[in-house]
Amino acid sequence: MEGVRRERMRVESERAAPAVSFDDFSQIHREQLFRLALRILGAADPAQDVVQDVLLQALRHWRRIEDPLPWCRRALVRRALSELGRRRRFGPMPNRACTDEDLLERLTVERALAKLKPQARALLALALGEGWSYAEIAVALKIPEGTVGSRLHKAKADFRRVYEDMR
Amino acid sequence: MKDAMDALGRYYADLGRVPVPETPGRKNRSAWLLAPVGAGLGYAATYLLMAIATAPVNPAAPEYQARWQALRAQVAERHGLEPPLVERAEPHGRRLQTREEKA
Repeated sequence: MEGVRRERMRVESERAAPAVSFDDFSQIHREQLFRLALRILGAADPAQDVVQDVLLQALRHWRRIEDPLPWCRRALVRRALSELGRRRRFGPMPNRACTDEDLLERLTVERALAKLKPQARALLALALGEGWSYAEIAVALKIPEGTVGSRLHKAKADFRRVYEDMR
Repeated sequence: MKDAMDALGRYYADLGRVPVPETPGRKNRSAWLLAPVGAGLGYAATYLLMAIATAPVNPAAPEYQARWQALRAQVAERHGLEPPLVERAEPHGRRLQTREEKA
């Protein structure tokens, strides 16, 4: 048992650490990670928190992560999902100059999304907002690839129904 | 009537235009770390002020000597005490003189 543990530690220590330094990585990909969190959560403040938590988590395991970007994206989706499970809606979006009609539409979308289940919301954000493939979504959400399509279809139908009810 | 999925697409596009905050995170954990440091500094400052306010007087300081002489003279005058008796009250360990020595 001790031998197995030692062997695993040896293999892990010999595994190539990421080629890029953590500082460079966080500089380059912070915006991308922030947008991903923002599309799932719909508000900037919790998105920042989630990105910060995921980057800290990545820093802790940096030498053991082979490919940091997919690792961080998966961790971020799961972290954002658990955040959505706690709170469905995080307050208004940052102010931006827009017409009353735009504002009304945005508020309706926010309210409709808040009515959906966290996973449905994440599916819509990843597929429609981020343009992820079914395979990527399946890995991030830990569901079979075939299930992604059916759940996405249901999420779209649910959103459309709730949105139309609210108008 | 705008289609729901179009509205959702516009919503996600809008989110893409939200400026990225400069700070890495909203939770400023260093502020929480600084709180006990601040409390410690406050305590130290209070302790220092109290130490200064209640510090024992240096008996060798000239202004203390002058005050002490004035007080001694006042006591001697009010109670008719002779200097040797007043000397006994001197607080900082000088050897007391007897009446004979004083004379």
